[in-house]
Amino acid sequence: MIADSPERRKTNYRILILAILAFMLFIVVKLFGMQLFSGGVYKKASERNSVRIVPISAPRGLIKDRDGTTLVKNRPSYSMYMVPYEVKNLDSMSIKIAEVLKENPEEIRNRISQGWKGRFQPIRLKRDVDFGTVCHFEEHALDFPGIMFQVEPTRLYPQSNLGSHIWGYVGEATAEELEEDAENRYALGDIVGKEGLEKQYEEYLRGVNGLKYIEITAAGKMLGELTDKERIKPVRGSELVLELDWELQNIAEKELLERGSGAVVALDPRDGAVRIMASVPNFDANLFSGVVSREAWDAVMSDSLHPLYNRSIKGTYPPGSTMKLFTAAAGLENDIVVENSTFDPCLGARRFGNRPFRCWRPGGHGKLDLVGAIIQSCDIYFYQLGVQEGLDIWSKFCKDSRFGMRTGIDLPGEVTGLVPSARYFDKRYGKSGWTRYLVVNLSIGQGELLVTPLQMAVLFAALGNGGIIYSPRLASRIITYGGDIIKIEPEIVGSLPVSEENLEILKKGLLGVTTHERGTARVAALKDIDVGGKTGTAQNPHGEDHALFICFAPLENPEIAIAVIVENAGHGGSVAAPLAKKILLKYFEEYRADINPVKKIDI
Amino acid sequence: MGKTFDWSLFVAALLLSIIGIVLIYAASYYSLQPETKALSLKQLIWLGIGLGVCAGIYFTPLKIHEAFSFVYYFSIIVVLIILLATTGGVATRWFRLGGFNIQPSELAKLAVVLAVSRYIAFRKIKPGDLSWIFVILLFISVPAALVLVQPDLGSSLVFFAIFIAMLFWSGLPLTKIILIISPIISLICAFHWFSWAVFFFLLLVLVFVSRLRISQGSFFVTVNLAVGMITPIMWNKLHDYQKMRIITFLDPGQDPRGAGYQIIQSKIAVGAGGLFGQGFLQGTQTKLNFLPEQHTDFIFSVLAEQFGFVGCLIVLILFAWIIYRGFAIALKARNQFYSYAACGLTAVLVFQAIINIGMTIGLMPVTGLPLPFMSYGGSSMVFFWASIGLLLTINRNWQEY
Repeated sequence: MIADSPERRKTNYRILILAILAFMLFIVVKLFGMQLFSGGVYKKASERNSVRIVPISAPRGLIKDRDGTTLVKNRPSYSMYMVPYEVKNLDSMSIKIAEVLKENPEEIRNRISQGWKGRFQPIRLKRDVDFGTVCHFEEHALDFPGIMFQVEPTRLYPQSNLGSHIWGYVGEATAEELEEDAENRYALGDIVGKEGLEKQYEEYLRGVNGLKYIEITAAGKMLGELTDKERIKPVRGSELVLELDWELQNIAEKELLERGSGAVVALDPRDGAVRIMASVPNFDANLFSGVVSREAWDAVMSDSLHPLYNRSIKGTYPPGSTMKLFTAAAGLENDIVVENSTFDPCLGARRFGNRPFRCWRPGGHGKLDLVGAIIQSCDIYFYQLGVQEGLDIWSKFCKDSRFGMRTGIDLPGEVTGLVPSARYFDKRYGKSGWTRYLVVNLSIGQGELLVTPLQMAVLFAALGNGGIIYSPRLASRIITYGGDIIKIEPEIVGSLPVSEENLEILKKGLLGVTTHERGTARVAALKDIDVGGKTGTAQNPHGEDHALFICFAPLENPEIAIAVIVENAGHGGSVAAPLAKKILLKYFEEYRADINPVKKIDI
Repeated sequence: MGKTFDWSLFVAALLLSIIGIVLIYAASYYSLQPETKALSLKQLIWLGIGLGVCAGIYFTPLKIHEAFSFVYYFSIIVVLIILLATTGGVATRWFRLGGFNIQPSELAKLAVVLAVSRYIAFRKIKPGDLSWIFVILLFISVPAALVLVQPDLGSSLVFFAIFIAMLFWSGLPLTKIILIISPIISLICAFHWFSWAVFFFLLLVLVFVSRLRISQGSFFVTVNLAVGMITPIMWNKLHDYQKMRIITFLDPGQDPRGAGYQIIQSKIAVGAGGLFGQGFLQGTQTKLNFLPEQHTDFIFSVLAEQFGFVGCLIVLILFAWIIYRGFAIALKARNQFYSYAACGLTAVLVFQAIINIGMTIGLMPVTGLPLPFMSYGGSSMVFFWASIGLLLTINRNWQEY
């Protein structure tokens, strides 16, 4: 075999030795270059001794409304860092620092050990230090070796309390969040979205941190930024453009504030775009992004009205009479009633089983057909319709209409609400612990049935748009730092199980509510535009009833659907409907200059 | 002993080991942790163990190692599997034994060299038949894969260095060796369509001129075509952070926080050394502990900073001498098994020395391979002294068939 021949071996040996010599020569030349030719440069670098890496926080992306109004931005603030190498005794230094910052020395010591990345890597001790404190440290720089300040962006919510539930807030990443961060994108102390859009769109809003190289001397003294090594610029987070209409949101939120607590949600029935999402009481999101004063924090957390809680998606209420539309639809779809079906006349009360049930109007409504019963919101009519349907048909219809399911809005923490069924009652009261007359209360939207204001807005939008159920969305597009646009497309998640003819019947009723002489929400009527709506009063075992009004307009091809709930305010027609009307007026003034929306009937 | 004992090889290795211990002492001198300060003493103990192993091998008849080479091989495979299994998927490279960490991948290098030498020395081949290459590839791949998942990319690359060296020593023409490693070249070229097109054209030329069998030729073409097409697809499926990891491995400057930081610091230390260095225990880089791994992977930068170009040159000459002796012994040995074993062991030394020094001066990616004889680490010390033992005894028995 050739391979084993001594001559071949000899050649291979020579090739090997030559190749290795070449490699070594290359290394020697490189070493020569580094140590003798450009040795001076390195020597200088070594004397000034080298580089320390300081991260530069990326500003988070802006959040804007559909007209370009900036709703969430950033402001510069001072962050305080410490380089452990320069500190002789960390414990006594922590005590000194804590004294100036008016904090617990233990807390400062913790931040040092948690942020430790080596003796030369600066540790962030505190964000958003006020200017006075910065001055104090700078004046006493000799007493505080190793302390430095860096300007970093801090989240700013310039609208103060308004809209706070929509964007939520940001805060420093917790240990658990760091643990879950499989892709290693966060370091301790990094800011992350904790609630609302800030959390939902975190990956787009956060941006990418940069870094800069700071030279320090052999003694550890800082000399400033390295000149021959360019800093890596941080990449600003993507901009989030919302479907929200800030003017409408303002009206809704301010009107709600005047009335106490509650929620308003407005959607475009044509694509599920959210125009308003108001929840009152609200809170100041700035509280969480900067320095949180103990008192302010306690005030928010101990408030019995729970201002941090977004009622639009987390608040569950009985829908009250607004449910009658769906009880009616279930009856129509199951051929239990037709448009002009009547039941026993309303005499103000009626007995089911051995219990009397009252109509809201003590004098009674007399004999009404389906449309009339919707217009006048006659309880007795719907009690009888509900009993005819029975719990199973009613409950199945509700589930098919996506009651009791999340709408899929682009916000974290949405709740499902509840549609009770026979199984639910079996579980709750035992197999024989309840009667078929439980459906009586449910059919007018009281009892165990629970909805969120957002769900009701979505479902009324579907009543108006021919039955299409959209997943509502706050964001319309994301504009990246590079200018790329990511559009967030409307998403259809289902449809109402109601035929077009039956939808028309329901709409007749909805229109009557605002136009008929006995309609319960005539205050919400507009000139030249038909408004379809329904009032409701949700019984509240803990206090005064909640007032509801849900509507859409124009009746044909609606452009806006609004759900209003005012907590503990009594009747929907007198409290919630006027609020909805203010929004409608503003909406049509803003978007439909061709139509005159001014009220047809004076209040 | 006398004439048959290669004193120059032994002394060169001993000098490197002692210089290593001195440098470890310097690197840990300013450390505040007592464990770090004790490292040079620990390394001295390891040198003693290494010399013992060297002597043990030197005085054991070579034929025993030849006979047991496959046993060694399968034992070490079992050990690697146990290491993987006992840690329950948690990555680790070490067994803890007493107060010391044992790194089985170092022993695996020895076993692989012996087993492959044994196989290749006794193989029966027909002209033109290349199937023996795939047997060797299998020998190499199993431990390489087991080490790779530890994860220890550097050590698994060492196995492929052994593979290439053995093929070359077997007299396989360079063109064929290039063909065998061509899928790896294809993988690298596949990141741009143009570079890949050029590569593929050259491959076709190579297949044509090396006059392979049709089946062999089409095999290489198909494999390279497949690699070239799959790579971009796989790459696009990776997450950004995964891509980033690969990019920073190949180009540490892209990641100044991690590997890039070490390279910057190491280069400053090397450059600051100048002609004669800043002096023993001097040098700001070492003093200030800028390099977290300076007593292990970056020991050469400590040498460069404190003893300068002259110190580096001395160490390089010592390495060159050991390498020269290693290959000379491989050439001289009449027994095929001895010859291949000498070549394979020397190849490991060459590969690790060049990769490590290259990394220190910023020519090579950061792989975490120790510098032979000098980096802190017991298993590595023992392995290289075992290699010296084998080379010495092969030298003594070169006339044997």
